[in-house]
Amino acid sequence: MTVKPTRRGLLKGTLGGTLTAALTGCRSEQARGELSQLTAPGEKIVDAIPVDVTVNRTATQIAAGPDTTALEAVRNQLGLTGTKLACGHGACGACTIQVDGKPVASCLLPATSLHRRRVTTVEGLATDLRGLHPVQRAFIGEDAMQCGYCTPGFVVEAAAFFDAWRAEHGKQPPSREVIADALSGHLCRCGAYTQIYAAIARACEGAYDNAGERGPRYDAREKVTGQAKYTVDVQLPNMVYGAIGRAHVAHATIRRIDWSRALKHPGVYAAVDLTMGVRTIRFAGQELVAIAAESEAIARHALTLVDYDLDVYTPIIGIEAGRTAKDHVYTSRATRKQAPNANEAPLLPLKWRGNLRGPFQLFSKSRGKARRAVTEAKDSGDAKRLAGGQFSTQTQCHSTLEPHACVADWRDDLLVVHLSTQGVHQAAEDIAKRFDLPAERVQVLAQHVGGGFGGKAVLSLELVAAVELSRQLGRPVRVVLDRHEELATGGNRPAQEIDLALAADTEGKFTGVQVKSFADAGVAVGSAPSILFRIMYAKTPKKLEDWDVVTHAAPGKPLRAPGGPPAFWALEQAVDELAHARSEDPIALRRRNDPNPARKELYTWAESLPLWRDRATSIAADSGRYRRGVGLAVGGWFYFVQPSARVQVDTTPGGFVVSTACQDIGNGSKSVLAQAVANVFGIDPGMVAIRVGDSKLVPGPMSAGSRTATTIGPAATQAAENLREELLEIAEAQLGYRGAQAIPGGLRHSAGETSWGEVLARAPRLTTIGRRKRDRKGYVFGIGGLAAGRYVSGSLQVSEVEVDTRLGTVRVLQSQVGLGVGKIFTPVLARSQATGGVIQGISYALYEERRLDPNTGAVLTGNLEDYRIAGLGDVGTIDIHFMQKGFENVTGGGVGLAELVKLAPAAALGNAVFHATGYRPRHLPLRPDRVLKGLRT
Amino acid sequence: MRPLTLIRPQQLDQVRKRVADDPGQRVIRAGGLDLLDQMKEGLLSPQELVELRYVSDTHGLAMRGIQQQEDQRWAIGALVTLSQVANFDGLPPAAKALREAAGSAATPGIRNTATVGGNLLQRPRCWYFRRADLQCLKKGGKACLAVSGENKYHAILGGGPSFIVHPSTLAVALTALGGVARVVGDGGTRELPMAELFVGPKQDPLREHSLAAGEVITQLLLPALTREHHSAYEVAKEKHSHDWPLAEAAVSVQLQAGKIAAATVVLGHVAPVPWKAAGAEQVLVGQPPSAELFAQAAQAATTGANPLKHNAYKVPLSQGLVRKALHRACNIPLPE
Repeated sequence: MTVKPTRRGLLKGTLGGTLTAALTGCRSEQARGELSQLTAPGEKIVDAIPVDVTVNRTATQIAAGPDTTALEAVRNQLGLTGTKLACGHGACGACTIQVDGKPVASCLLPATSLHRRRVTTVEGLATDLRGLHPVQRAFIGEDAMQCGYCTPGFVVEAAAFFDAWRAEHGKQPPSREVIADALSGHLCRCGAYTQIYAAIARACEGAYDNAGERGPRYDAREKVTGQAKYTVDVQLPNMVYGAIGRAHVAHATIRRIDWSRALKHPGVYAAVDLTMGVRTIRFAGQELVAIAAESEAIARHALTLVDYDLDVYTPIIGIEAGRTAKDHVYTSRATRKQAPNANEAPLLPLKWRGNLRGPFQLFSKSRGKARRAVTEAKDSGDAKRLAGGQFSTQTQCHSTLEPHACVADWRDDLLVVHLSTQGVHQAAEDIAKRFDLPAERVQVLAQHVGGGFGGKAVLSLELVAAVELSRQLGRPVRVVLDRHEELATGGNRPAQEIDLALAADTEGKFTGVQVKSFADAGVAVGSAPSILFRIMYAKTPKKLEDWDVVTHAAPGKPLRAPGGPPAFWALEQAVDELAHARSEDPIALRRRNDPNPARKELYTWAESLPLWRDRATSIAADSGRYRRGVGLAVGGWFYFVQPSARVQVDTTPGGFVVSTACQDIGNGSKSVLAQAVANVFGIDPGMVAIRVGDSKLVPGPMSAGSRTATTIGPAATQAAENLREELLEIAEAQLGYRGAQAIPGGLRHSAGETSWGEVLARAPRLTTIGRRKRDRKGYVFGIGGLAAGRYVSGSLQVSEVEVDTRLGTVRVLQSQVGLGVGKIFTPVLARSQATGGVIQGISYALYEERRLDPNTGAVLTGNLEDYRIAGLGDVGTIDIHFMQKGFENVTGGGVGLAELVKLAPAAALGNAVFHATGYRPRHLPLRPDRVLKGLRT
Repeated sequence: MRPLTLIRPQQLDQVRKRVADDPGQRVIRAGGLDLLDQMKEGLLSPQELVELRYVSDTHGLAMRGIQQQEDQRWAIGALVTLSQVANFDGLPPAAKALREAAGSAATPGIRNTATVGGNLLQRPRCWYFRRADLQCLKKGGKACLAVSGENKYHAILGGGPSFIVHPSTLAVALTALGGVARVVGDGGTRELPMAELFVGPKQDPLREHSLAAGEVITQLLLPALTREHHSAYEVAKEKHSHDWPLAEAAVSVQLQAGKIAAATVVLGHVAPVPWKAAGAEQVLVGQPPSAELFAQAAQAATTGANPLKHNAYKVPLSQGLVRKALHRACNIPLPE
């Protein structure tokens, strides 16, 4: 039996899913002839023209080929890697540079057009005289970033806007609309828009003219100056470039793959087979071969010379086709085992019927009772006792702005892998297993990671390709996906169809919930949202069934709150529907049926909000073209910790060094660590240096499953507290401070007070390792170094929308979000992560949708124009309210919120659209065509 | 890989001859944005790029400026950027639709480098066309893949055999304003109305314009616009931030003695060419402007629409835009 290498079998899921399986090696071949030496990193220049240009106030010359972009010239020839490639088609703004003071998209700008121009990149915004540009200071001060990958583009454009605005308007603040228009060409996948607005407005007002250069985020300065190095920025001596050849069809069998023409092409060094012996193509974009060459352009060109001899068949595209097709994606028990896992939990054995797999019913509760309750409510004919129907949600892509990227360097003694990953420690373990190496011979590095959201949690084929090619060639190999590859295969949240019935008695007490959900995770299986129905309205009987429908599409992966947004889209609209049918306040109905203590507090808070309290009492109260409405939805999520994680704190004569093999994907791990240690010692976090992003450090957690802060925060605190005790002893015993006691910032002793800085300068170097203490009442379960906590967090979102009944557009005006997650470790960053999650939820609800051609299975939305992600002007204002109590039994007093915040947005908007218009949307996204149709029926 | 050469002539005639000699392999480059885009997508792999922006003869000057001619017509150079048009307040108020359109297309970062000529002659954004590995009608294949595929963004008017929508936002406004392209070719200079510049797929499914190889647009001319003329441009997009239009409308009306003496209503992103809505124009001409009249004209604007499976929503969308544009052009508040 052969095993498909991707995403299951080979790889551990984030919840300790299936174990790593040993695989046979890949077929590979090297080009004959000598390897040429590279003259310069990056693209080979064909027929280059010298271009004189002043870059960041220095006159220089670049060599521009006819198709060289300004972006390539700046990054590859001048080494200014702050300017980023993300979409490659002028839609995202990450590549923005200033030419003669005007912002331009450098990915579509011919480098030749820079002749005799003045270019400013993010590296050149600061000057010796003034230091950072006020906009850079403002981005730091307002924490207007998360992963930082889009930040240089935003900062460069915003700086140009600031300069022009100041010249014309002085310190008058620009409106939100003006800022949104000026920055309309930029996308931030993490959703830092709330803070970006604030940064630009406050900078224009003058608030940052003389401000400092430090802020709440540990690595903000690196990010706003373009100094932060991501995997895509790694340049190693002697490095070559790999590219992956993919299936252009969605369903075929492979007779033969012949790369001989490609290997003969000048500058091509080697090829490897990525099929791992699987002879069936099951989705467009499936990885088939990888080629290494002198430049990425040559590698990609060589891919067009690979001959594929295929038998092509009609693909099965979409849930309906999957259910009704006579053909099957997996035709045997053995091939079904190749199906990747779309989820985090281990796959349980389930029955297959053609393309259907299921039902998965484990999370039902009093199934018979639930079914009878629904039947009875139906039979009663009483509309006030039954709500629900069929809901559907689309496929959403992770589409991190830094694509999947890997630079592998296979040396005799050590395999060094620079990887854009959510888990350096986990990745190193998995790589060691995959390539049969002792653990100490693998090192994974990730200084900065441009977003993850679940898409970079397990190893994928860009890594296999880079490592195999590097092993072949004995040179470092870089493989980076382009945007089309990223959107086609980088990961997605499966589409869902959910049939939901919510039954209640005449008193408005829920009597049963019945859910049948079908997931289209393409070739993957295991999407199981039913657990989310189980944890909501926890006392209500439930009959829950999950089904997979396999189709010829790229495999789904966990995406921040897997299963959540579809489940809550259905459930929270059904609850709203029932409330309206009963002419009851939606909060009153929920409160009656919701035992969750975190949300109880949030209901009271929401009732006090003017936005909720003063909403129109009737449905569709406005009669004009633009109709406003207010909707409310709630969410609940588990929490996880990684007890196996460790945090090390070292002292140096100058301060503290905190290290752990975790990574900062924009979630703020570094800042959490710095803050935790600073809090223990009562010092400025500036005295704390952070080292993460290196698998050789003590084991750290994955950045997944909302576990990071609640794992490393308490572990760092414990390490720091132990260290403080040790320092006190040393102060007393060796340094001569009599009666030393710790006070914020230092020691109090018989002779007065001494700062920690002074103590450290005299003390010997110390090392402690902290771990996260077990929760007072233990965990629900623990597997594979991960534990599920006993408590369920709560969220509540109230949103106001405006529906344009002529154009069918839905605009979000404002959202108020309450979160019951206990103690907040770093408030500014927690707020940013919360607003970012809400923004991703709004983007999902209104715009995002992967579309496949129904006939060929080709990905049509392979760029950031056709795959729409919300921009600055699309999200409205967002306020976050933290309910900081109720988790006293949790070590550290608080739980994660990254996933929780993604649950309620879609349903809150759906309920608001209903409130505004009387139209109850059932399908996502809320596209104009759907809204117009809905309003007319 | 095939070698690629860059040529930078200083005379327009050199540019034209160079390309006319081997139009299959040589391509003219203005701003170069869509060209780079197409080359990245594998849609084009020319052997030679011939730069327009180094032309320094009289045509070169004409291509870079915005000026009023002696005959009172405004001439906008083909190499002028979209942001220059959007920010140029010397144009008469009656040309508002053009400035609004120029300021609405793409993103600020693109508008700072994209040229007027390039905007008019960019290739369609259709998601079948833009994928090199899908052999669609516009790339010499047998059928328009949108017909049986995902056609939400495709044509409701004038479609067949290809159902692309024309991608140029400026073309919609220029057509409404009665704009004319000044084209330099072998026979000298000629003026080409927008309706003749753009060709539909029935005429030629492989291209969207009628220029011969080696012909170059040097300027766009706006007719003399008086105080009687009024115009407006409206667009519907899914997103508020950068997005391609779902539908657009540009209108230009001439008001004389309280009545509409002449009217042009043009729809964008609903047809393979900028779509002149003759039905709406007939409703308007000779009538005093009013909300009722505009509502009727909006209804008539989509006469003949024949939507595909997923794009019928463009009908009410276009009507809503026409209505809004008429109200704004005539400065009559929308009653909604």
